Amino acid sequence: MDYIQSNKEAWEEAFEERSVDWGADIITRLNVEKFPFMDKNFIETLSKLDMNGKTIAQFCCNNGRELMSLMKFGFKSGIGFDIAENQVSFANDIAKRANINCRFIATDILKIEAAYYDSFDVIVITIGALCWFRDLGPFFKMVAKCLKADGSVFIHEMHPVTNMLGAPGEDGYDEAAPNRLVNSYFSKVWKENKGIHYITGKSYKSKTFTSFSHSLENILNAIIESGLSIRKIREFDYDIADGMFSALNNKGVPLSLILHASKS
Amino acid sequence: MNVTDHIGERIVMDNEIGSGLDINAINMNSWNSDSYAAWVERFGKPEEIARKILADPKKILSSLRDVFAEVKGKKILNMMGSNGTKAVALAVLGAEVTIVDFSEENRRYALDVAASAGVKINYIQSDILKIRDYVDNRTFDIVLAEMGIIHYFTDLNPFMKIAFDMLNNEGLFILKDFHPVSTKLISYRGSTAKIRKYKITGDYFDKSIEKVEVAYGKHLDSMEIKQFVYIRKWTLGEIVTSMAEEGLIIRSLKEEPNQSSEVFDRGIPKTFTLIAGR
Repeated sequence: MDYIQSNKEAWEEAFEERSVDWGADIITRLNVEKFPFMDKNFIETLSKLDMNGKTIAQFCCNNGRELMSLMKFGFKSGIGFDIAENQVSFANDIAKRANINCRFIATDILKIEAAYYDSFDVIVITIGALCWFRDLGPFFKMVAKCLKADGSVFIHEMHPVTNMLGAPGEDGYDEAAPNRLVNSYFSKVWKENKGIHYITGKSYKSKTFTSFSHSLENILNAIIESGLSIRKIREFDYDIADGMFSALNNKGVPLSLILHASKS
Repeated sequence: MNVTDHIGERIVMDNEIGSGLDINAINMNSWNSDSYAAWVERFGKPEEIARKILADPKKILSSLRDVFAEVKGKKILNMMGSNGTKAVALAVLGAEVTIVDFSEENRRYALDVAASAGVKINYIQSDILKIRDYVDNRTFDIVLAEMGIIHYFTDLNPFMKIAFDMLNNEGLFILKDFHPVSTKLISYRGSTAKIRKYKITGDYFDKSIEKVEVAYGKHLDSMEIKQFVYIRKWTLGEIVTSMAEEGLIIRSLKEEPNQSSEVFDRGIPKTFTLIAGR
């Protein structure tokens, strides 16, 4: 089985194992909060654009909560793509109940249908998307294909500096010294069977997740080779990875970033 | 010992900049002190380094040799090209090279090396930000800035604008420098590769200006009065963004582990090379 199919099965298993409250608060929070589930700096970045009447997509959209939150900017329509069929079904149900003009489509990102090419003014990619692709080249080529001629992609991800840090539970991680480097900055393959904690709230013997750490060189060059132009990189000193590196928050360590690239 | 060794011992952090200190004037003065003698210590007399360059000019270019695969007939601007060894190597390979650097001592050494190598280089002694007084926009096929350049600027945008303006339509700007992850973040303990342990101890987001010994100082043990310069270490995000803001289209980024050792610091980015065009 290739790693993408294996990851699909592991993600669908994670959704089946989800905690009872996973996703239960989406509609409530969408009703009472301005941009729930979203990072304030990511919202600040996006708010500089005029979104009124524009179209948005999210690649690797999970249960859809982020895309539904971003629809508050006034996008005309939104489409979320994710490989896990049960997550997508859940997201479509929530969008229908919340009366939000979003659709969610279950697909391998690398196989998004041509019908969606040249379709979006904005594509967003948030934490924990890029790591599921061994080669970011085809991934960003699909981003470029799906963007309209003057479209933009906004990426909110872990900073590649986190490639070098240990996470709790990992070999070499020292709770007393979370600033110790235990891994290479450069590319590395990870195989894990500990499940997805932020969805399930527990550790369990899961199907195999295969992920890849990417350097900034990997990310930038894949974007550039897809034909997109790098516009801006903002770096931040706080963790966005479910607390994995939060012991280093506000200590001068780049833990997350926002990257803007555009087609024109 | 910390990772700022490449620019000399870190002396002190201060906030004198806020009091109106002219750091450009101080840096210019420091670079106009003893650098000729330092380059003789580092590279040998001009005729000695010239012989080495003539024997293998691509070796002098180090990891940039791939970028400069074919330079014959190309017009190259070497921004703050210092002692001129790279420029002379490029001239030996057939390029038409201009250096802009504000040090008279650097200029003398570079021109002596060029003369010994039997090539001509154009050395303009000037603040790089005033290059338009001497050279027209869109003059160059390649604009090169390498190793220890951008930390001399307290605002990167005017520097990137110069690079953009100097490039012709098909030209490439090549910026190679120390990687901020190494210079701003990481320190280590242990003198052998096997036992060396790395930690993040620095502040990547530190925007302060540092007073450090001038780069050539480490080659001059006999220097009676130490010369200092003021530098600002930039993050990779700031560097990339300032390029893009000034209209440069980034073509590639290369992050390199330690190039001078096969065993030390392999998993850490030590240098980066950004290539951009118009």
